Amino acid sequence: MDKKFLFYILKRLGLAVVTIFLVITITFFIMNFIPGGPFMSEKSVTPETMAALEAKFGLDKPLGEQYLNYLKGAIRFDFGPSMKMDGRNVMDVIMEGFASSAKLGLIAAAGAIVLGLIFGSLAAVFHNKLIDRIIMVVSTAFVAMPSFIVATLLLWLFCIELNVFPANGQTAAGLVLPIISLMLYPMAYIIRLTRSSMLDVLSQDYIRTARAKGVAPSKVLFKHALKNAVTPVITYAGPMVAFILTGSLVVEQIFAVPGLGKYFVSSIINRDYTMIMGTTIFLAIIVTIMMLLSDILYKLFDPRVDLS
Amino acid sequence: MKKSLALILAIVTVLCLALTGCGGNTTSASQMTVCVGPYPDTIDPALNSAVDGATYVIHAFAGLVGYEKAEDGSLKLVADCAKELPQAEKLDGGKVSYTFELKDDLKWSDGTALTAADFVWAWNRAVAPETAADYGYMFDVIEGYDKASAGEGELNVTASEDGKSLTIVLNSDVPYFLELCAFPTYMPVKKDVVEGNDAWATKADTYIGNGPYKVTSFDQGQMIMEKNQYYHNVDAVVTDKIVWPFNEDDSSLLANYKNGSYLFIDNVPNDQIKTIEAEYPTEYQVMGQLGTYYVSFNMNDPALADFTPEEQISIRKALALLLERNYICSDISKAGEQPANSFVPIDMTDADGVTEFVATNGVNRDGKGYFSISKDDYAANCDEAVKLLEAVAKSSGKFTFTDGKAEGFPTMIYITNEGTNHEALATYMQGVYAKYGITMQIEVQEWNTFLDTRKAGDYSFARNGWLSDYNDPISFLDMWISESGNNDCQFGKDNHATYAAYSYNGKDGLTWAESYDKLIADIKASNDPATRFALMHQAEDMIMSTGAICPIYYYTDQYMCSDSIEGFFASPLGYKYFMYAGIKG
Repeated sequence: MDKKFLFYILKRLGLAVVTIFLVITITFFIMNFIPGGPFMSEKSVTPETMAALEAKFGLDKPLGEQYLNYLKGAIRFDFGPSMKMDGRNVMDVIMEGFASSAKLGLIAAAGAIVLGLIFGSLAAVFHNKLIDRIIMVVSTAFVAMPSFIVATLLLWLFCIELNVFPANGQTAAGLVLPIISLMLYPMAYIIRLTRSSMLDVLSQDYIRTARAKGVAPSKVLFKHALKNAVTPVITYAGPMVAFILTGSLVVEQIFAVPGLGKYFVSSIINRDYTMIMGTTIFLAIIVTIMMLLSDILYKLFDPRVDLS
Repeated sequence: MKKSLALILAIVTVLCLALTGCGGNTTSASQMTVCVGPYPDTIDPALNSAVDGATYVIHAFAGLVGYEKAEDGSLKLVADCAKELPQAEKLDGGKVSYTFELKDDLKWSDGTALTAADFVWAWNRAVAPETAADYGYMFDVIEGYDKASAGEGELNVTASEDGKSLTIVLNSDVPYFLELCAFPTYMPVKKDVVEGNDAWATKADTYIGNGPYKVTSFDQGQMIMEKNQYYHNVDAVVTDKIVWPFNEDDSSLLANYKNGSYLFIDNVPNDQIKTIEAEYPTEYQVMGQLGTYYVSFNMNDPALADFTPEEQISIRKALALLLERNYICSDISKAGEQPANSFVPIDMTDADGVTEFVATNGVNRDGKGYFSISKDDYAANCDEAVKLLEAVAKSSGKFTFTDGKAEGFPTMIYITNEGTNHEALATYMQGVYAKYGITMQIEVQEWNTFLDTRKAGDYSFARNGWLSDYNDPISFLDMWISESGNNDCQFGKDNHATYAAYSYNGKDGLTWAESYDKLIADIKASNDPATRFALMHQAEDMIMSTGAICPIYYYTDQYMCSDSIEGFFASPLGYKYFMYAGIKG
């Protein structure tokens, strides 16, 4: 690894810290300006209870002071207790949910990338043949179908009609359908990216040269062509993996997977301030890491890329 | 190429299969899987205010009093930790005391002894300001509550030296006190696991209870409870192990019910109710839930500020009469709700504890409510509404009302939170009012914003709902005193604070604070059930006379319980009791 590359990574890490600081700041203030609060409910609590709750979570202090206190905690990765879920630490809730979501997400992301590259390459190799047409029709359908439709269809077909999978993520068998639901969209998207990028690469002179030299067709495809065609997929995969790892509200709800996805939404609905901050920061960190990783991969796959 | 493709496909397949493992049979003779809700915010008896949380609490804890299903199917209060249900003893100044003798050898689920002092500690903890419990006010009937809730004293509850009896002094003879003793907030908690550990109720090993079950595993996915060998009545507990998966998605619940994973679900998809009713006639259940869905009007609505208070009443009453509640129940809400014409709902009992409160409601005490909800009378209701509006048009001169259509009527803003049914009802109302020339604007707000707007009185009229915590109409009436945090109608606030046209105790020309607030205080201090209930009817008359409360329907609780379960029952508060339930055969 050359010095320039190392310097680049350090610079990116520095920028990441700034980004996360900005995310914290913006989220913190926007969150406090939306109406409502964490302790509101259809049945309102007494003013004394409200005051006690606010004191307990430091919400009785001026906003600036709350912000500084929050920053102090965040630096030590202490995201505080949830304001809605009594006795639970935001970090613990996130990590427990993340363990479920990441398990699904990793398999789904890996499946999407592997299958996406394979079918995308196949479609490019058999350009305009039947196999290409089939792959394109199917991938277009999966790109167009929102995950709640896919998940609901799978639920109805495999859990009710055929009854071959359980409809909840409590058992390992119950994880197959959510993984498939999570995988289909990114897989279809990667198929399309790979296909067009592959078509472009396959028409290049060096491929023709390789073929003319008698290099085995599979080697041409995977070593020469795919390596160069993969860059747009890497660009897409970075954020995709980040989002898939941190869970999907829809898929997790439909298949009753105790993941992280729901907290992104429920924390805002409940105005669970510490949880809003925790989930946002967590997502920001994961996205930043994945972007950085994808940039590094970018460089490894294509040395022509100038990172500075 | 083919080889590598095959290899990769094989790897993916193996990965999927590796995950598959064994599906597992979720039910057996001594185990059942039942779902009552999502991952709960809390299962700490003092802090919980949710219905699903209460269901977990009543399985893991036992109060002084509990419920049992009687032969005739009704629920009756029975002594749980107490030996028997005590009688109130009259004290000076209208106060009463209850003395509970505890059963012998009561134990916590860790085998240690439970004494009356544990109740004293738990109750004072629930009331203490630093606990900040939503339901702390459930103890306001006990002497000393005001000071204890301000952190300056303790409840007048004492344990005997030997820890075998508990004496409680109440401010007045509250008829529903024994019922309160069965309420989850009144359950004892173990001081040495709770004190100084906010997280005690989030982990199985510190969640020590004294109920029929003990929690043996608890994570975001599910909770597992097993029979508590130390429970005093463990022989009556049927099933060894209950698995409570956490799930809140209607379609997912139904799928899990249909394929047999869950034997009980607490909610069903609204759009499939008709099919479910046909498919599962014995398993789909609808129960009353001591609650009313209603529309609240803002007493200080700027849109109606140009009208006199009397004209405003007529307008509100007219708008309420124009709604066809039978249609709303059968075609919009669809979950077996019953059309409502009073604020205090069905299933609440009157002074004798048997007759329904609604059987003697209405201004004539004839049980006919505050307007007719019969389908046949809808046309007459509309005619009456038209008459009211015509009269207002004439007296105010602010708009005209000819041939059943208003012109120049101020635009009214209706706010509702998001939700298919809430929004569908709003659209229905908009359509009905448009027929009479009244423009209603719908503002759909996100939940928390909605609560905030409604509480602040920043609206014309709004969706509203109230579910009771105990079987006593006061829980529907004391929320309307001027200073109540749930006074969304803004009674006795701003302009309405000075409006003096109410009567109470033979005096006329009183403000809301001088009449209604006083009336509620008198109800709370009353020791005579007959007087007390008469006053509560009077209070309902008063709130209904303002037209600010427009009841739509009485809430129902719907659930599906497999025919293979026997011995299950649910309470009107929506709590589900599985401790005496088992799987047939």
